[in-house]
Amino acid sequence: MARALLIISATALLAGCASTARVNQFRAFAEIGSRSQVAVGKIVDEAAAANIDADSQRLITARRLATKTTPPSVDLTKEIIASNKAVVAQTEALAAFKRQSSLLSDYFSSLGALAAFDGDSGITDSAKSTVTALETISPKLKGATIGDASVADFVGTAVSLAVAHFKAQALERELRKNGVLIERQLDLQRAFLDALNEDVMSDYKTLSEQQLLEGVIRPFMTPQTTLGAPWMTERREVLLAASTQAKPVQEAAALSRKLHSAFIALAEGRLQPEDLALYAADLGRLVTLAEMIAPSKSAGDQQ
Amino acid sequence: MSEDALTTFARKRFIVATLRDLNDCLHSAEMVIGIEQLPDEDQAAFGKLMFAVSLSYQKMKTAALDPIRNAIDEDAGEIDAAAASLNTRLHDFEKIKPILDGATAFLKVIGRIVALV
Repeated sequence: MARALLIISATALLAGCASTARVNQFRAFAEIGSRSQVAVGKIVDEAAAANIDADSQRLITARRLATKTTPPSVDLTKEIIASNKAVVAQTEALAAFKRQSSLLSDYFSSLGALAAFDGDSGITDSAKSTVTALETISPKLKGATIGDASVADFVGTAVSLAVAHFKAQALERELRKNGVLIERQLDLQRAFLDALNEDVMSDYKTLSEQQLLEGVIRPFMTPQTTLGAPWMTERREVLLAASTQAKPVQEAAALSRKLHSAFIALAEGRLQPEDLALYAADLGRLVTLAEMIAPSKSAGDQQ
Repeated sequence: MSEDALTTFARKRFIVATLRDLNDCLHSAEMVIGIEQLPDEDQAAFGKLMFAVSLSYQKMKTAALDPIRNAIDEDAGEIDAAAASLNTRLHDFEKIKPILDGATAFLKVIGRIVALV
């Protein structure tokens, strides 16, 4: 009986180890997926704010030039109403992607909760108790060992791994059922974030160009103006901000591409632990950047 | 579905990119300084052009997002259902523990009976 149990347990151990590794992949991926979606939500908010600020800045410049003649070259009332409508429409469009990231976050959280289901310890304890009861029935089993471990310890582990196997099966079934849907959504999100990255860079460029013009170039072009430390500080801030402001969106777009690839690799069973470690590092950077997002500064109409 | 949506999106984004480049150019510090050297009528004409480009850019950005936004909306219910299905599986696993506990308790009783015999 002990020998038969040893063979069954050894087989379960091998299958269980593979299942545990697979469950851990799901768990790590789900955590990265869920947290990255939260960061995406914040970034979309920032992109919407940058879009409005940049549009306002463009309106200010256009208005200043259009009113050089009397009457102005445009109907200002008509222009501001049309611009407001267009900006509201764009903000609403961006909100749809925030809803998507929220839905994906919920999905990955549920996936992670299933993968991380903490019933193993309880089940292992139950299994050990079962073996203890069996030992009472069969005294031979009591003395049986597998290597240095008693049968009770070993069977406990095997049952725990069997649970991992059941969980892996449940997760694989989930992947077969909804994998295409999630892959499609991640692909759409990747395309969206790539586009958003280009737009946000342009918005920040508009804002920083205006700051550069009003805070740095115009004072410099005026010989009567004395330039000192404040001008140097302004110049440094504007020039440095121009290269760092769009960083969160760039990182989000890059991580989104990786998440999409990682999900395909997960589905095909070729996701490596080192890949997950890299994604986790990328995510850490993205979360830090998302938390650092500060409200945009506008130069306004200074002329 | 998403491939079609992405193709349409990419095509529309090409127009967005053109408008964005034009906008960036018009609002660059060098261009604004250059325009300000022109006669008032020409400056006013540039102002009119800036309003038009800015509005077209904003509208085109929203229009470009439409195909992928629709694809997202179509799948929203399914993602929600997928998350709900996962939660159901989790509850199924939570049911395993009491069943094993019950079986264990039963075996313990049997063990005691056998030991007594």
